[in-house]
Amino acid sequence: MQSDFRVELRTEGRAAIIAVSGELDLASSPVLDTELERAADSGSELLVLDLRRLDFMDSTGLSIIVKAHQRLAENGRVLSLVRGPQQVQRLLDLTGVAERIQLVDTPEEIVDGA
Amino acid sequence: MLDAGSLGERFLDGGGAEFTVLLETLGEAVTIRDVNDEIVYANRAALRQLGFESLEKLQRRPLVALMDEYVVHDEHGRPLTMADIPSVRLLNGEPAEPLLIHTVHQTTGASRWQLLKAAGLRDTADRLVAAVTVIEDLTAVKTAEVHMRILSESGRVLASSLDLHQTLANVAEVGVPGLADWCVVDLIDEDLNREHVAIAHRDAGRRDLVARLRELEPVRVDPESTAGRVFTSGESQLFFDVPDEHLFRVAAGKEHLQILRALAIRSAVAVPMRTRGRTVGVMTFGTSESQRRLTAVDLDLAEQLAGRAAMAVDNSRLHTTLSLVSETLQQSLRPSELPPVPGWEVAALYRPAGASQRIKVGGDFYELLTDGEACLALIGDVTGHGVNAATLTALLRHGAHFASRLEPEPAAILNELDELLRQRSETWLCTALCARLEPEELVLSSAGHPPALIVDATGTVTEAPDPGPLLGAFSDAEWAQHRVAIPHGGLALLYTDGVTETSGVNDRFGTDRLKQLLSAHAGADPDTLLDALDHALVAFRHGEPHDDIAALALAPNPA
Repeated sequence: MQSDFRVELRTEGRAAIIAVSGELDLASSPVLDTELERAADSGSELLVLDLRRLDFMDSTGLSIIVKAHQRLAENGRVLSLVRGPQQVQRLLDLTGVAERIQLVDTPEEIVDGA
Repeated sequence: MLDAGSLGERFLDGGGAEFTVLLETLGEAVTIRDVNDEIVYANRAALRQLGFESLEKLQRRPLVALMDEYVVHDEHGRPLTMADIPSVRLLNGEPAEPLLIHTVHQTTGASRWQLLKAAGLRDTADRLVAAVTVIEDLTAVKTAEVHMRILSESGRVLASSLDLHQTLANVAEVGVPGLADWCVVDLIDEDLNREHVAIAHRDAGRRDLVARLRELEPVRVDPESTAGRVFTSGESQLFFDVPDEHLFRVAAGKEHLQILRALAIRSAVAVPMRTRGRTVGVMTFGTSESQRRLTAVDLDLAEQLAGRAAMAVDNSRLHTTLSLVSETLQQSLRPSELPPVPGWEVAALYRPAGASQRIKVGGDFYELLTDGEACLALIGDVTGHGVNAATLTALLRHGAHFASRLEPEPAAILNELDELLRQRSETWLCTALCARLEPEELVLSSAGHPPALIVDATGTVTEAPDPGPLLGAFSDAEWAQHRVAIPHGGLALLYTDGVTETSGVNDRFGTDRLKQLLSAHAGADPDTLLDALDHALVAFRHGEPHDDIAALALAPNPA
């Protein structure tokens, strides 16, 4: 069982959009962590993490997201998530993250609303 | 008497003078011996190799006496005599194949590798009148070859055994007899206490003599002794010669001196076993029987061997330390055995990930708290692995113990653990599921943890209600409690995500497979069920496990 993990970062207006695909787990989490740091440093006010093309996420991946959310919140900035497939959404629901981090269906909802 | 010139004239169609000039300029040594066993010619290179100023001086020395000045072996270490030398064989009418010989001069201890090739000289009547020997000096090539072989062999033996003493014994053997006639290995600690770990000797009979010698030496190394100086300075010591007065000076008593003399040590080198900036011992190599004098090249090889041996010692110690740390930490993740719980039967499964790694600790933990009025089961998963996660896990288990005595409510315990985590400067996240065991009923509270699965006697599987937020993440988090009946013949499974996330060839084990397994084993006792789960996961898994696996099975047992 193998699935490559990929991260793509683009900026649209005041938002930095990070799109992830593949499996976000113990092995790939550091890659996302680095990319989230970079996006945060880019100065964009809004960070959007697009989970739509993710095949799988484990608790390590989840913790990277929660920690990024905490860091950004301390600086008055916002991390939003674009809903992913069922397994990913289930994990966000189970852990209470879905209730505490803004979830949207498309990145445009954030970018256009901003 | 024949000379090369006249030989040349006789056998090579004239031009004798030119033939002589040719021989004189050759790098290879050339000698010609007649049928009376007299050396009738030796070129400059030959005289130089044999250590004579002129042919006349060489001729004055009987050949047998000349041979006796050397210890001569073939390349397999078998002793050779005059009768084995190609030119002698040729003149005796025997076949004379090229012969590689190793010579050590008895007086100087100089070691040489020479390839001897002989050809017969015949007169016009085809009678053999002399034998020409061309001696090619292969000392540099052969020494390099022997050293390379020793080094590559040492690499093999260092990788072959996990047992440190066996490994060091093997390394000592590798250097004998190619580098030296004997080798001893001492491990020395910071207090200069010595542990004799290995002895190798080319003569098995003399090995015991060396062993006795070692017994007579004090356990604590004298800092002024050779080993002591080499150990403390990290600098090697090479003794080209070991004169008797030296033995007398270093001997630790009468018997020690007797043995030292009996060993007839010719030359010795003591080198530090040094790696990663630390010296862990001393290796001593010496020559006796071979009469060979050790050189700077030998010293270099000895140092390389000792460096490799030191690395093996260091790795072995590191491995031992890590195993101990790993074991200790793993013990902090779960109780050493589950205490009995009245009215319940409980079993646990624990499989840390990374069994192939050196530190086998992860973030999964479980606990069964029975020290208060109530009995509580706790299972959790700290995000992250390694020593930090394991340390935190220990903290959480102790926190749970403490909290359970104050207020034995699952939600209160989760609340306490959340506070413990959020007090840390670094963010640590943890999912946890806590259950109070009551008669045929569980009071459950969960923090972002995979919901408990409940199977009844008929095989119907239900999920416990959805959990509250994970621990350590949110300051506004609260946890609810739910009562879940576990009917007689039923069972509750508390597990970490390592179970459902186990990777197979095409997909992950998943909740559905887990539910099917529970259903298929309806009515099984907790131990049997967890055995089945363990086997199912092993069978399903493809590749190395990435995450820890922990599970608790709880079944009411009114009897």
